Amino acid sequence: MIKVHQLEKTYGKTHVLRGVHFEVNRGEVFALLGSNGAGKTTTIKIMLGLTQADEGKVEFPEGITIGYSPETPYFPPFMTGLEVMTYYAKLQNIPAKEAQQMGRDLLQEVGLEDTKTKVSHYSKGMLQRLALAQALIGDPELLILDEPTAGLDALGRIEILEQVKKYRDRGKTIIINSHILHDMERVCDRGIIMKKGVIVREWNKEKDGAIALEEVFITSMEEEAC
Amino acid sequence: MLTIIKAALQEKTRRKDFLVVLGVGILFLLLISTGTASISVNGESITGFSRMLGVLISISTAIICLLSIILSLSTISNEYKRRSSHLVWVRGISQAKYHTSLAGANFLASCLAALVLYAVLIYYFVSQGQGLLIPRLLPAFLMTLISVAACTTLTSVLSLFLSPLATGIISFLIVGAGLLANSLETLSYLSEGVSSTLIRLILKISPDLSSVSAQTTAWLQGENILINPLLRVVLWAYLLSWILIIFKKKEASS
Repeated sequence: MIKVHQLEKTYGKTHVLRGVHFEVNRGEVFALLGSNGAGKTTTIKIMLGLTQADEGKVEFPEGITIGYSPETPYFPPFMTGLEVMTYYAKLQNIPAKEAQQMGRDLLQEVGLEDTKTKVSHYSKGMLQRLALAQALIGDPELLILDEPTAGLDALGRIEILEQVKKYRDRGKTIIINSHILHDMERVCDRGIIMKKGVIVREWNKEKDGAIALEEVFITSMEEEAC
Repeated sequence: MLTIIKAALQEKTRRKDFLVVLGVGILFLLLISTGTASISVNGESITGFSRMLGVLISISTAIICLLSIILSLSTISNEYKRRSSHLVWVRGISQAKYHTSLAGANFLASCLAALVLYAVLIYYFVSQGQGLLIPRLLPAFLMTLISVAACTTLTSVLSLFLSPLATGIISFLIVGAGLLANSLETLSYLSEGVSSTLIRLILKISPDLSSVSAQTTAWLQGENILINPLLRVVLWAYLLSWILIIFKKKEASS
């Protein structure tokens, strides 16, 4: 479904991506794993067209719709959750009335029933859920979630992961970038482990079976780049 | 586009600095217009409605221009800093549309501030028994908006490349030169060598806001106005605004 071909990217003298190459199948939950500076966020930014690769390309099926939830979501603090949803829906050319209803439904779906609370009063967990809700506007086929559980407590993380599972069950393709291996192991089918811009190992829950992701990760961090 | 403008405008008008700067502007104009503070030019005290009007228009134009710069300083850079731009770009909104919408919000917020300051002028006209002149304030206001457009366009364009501090400093210098264009031109004739060349260079790149202010005063005093100085500033802002459309940021976050 999605083909990432030999991505190369440098920022000044720093080579952040070196021949990153992977494929994501339809309906899969795919993990981008690696420590800080591995190149995960740059890969996502290139996939979203937020930055240009020096070499390589990303191929998407024609007409695919993408929803994106950023790592550190910022929403205008004076807006309510519903106003935020309506704002982004309008940017997607969804008529105002439809946008309102869609916003209300999606907020309910991610557990933000109270549509009147201002974003300034939102907790970190509520912001992450709002970020997820705005990514779902227009019912996209592909969801790209950048650190969706970062900074959340155990309960907050569980709630977000339950949402991810729900969308996986609905057949959505999901790409998640995260540091939290335990979380990724719970929801992802496959993934890649990156180190200094290089894929050091591919991970497959079915094939790696009994080996815990943590173990796979630690071993691959010690291995040479493949 | 309207959606982005509306949201950016809402955010701008709710900010404390908007209210503080506007409050200071109103207070300053009130102090001058009510005679609490006196103005003197070349040691001579300014009295009489006609003379006071010119000074008041010049000062209010300067305040409105400064307000426009302050209000436009960080709109675009903040969007990139918070990465709000990511969620806009992924929705297929072009950079040209995004930047012009944000600059549009800067312009509208500044118009709003200008409108409030013009209310002080109405108060001054009434207090001076010149209420009949109030209908002339609308075209005068529109002329002031030419200066507002020049200031917000300049600041918005600079903020694409520079930090808010650098944007502020350069904008203040260029707009300041534009507001003092007449005096600077005289100074350029009086000075020699490098300083004269430097002043002429600054005048070349600055919009002639002093002429806009002079035409506004002339209109309010019932005199004939010259269209060319106004059109020159409009053209200056228009040409500059193309940078907002043409320029593309390489990265969605800075």
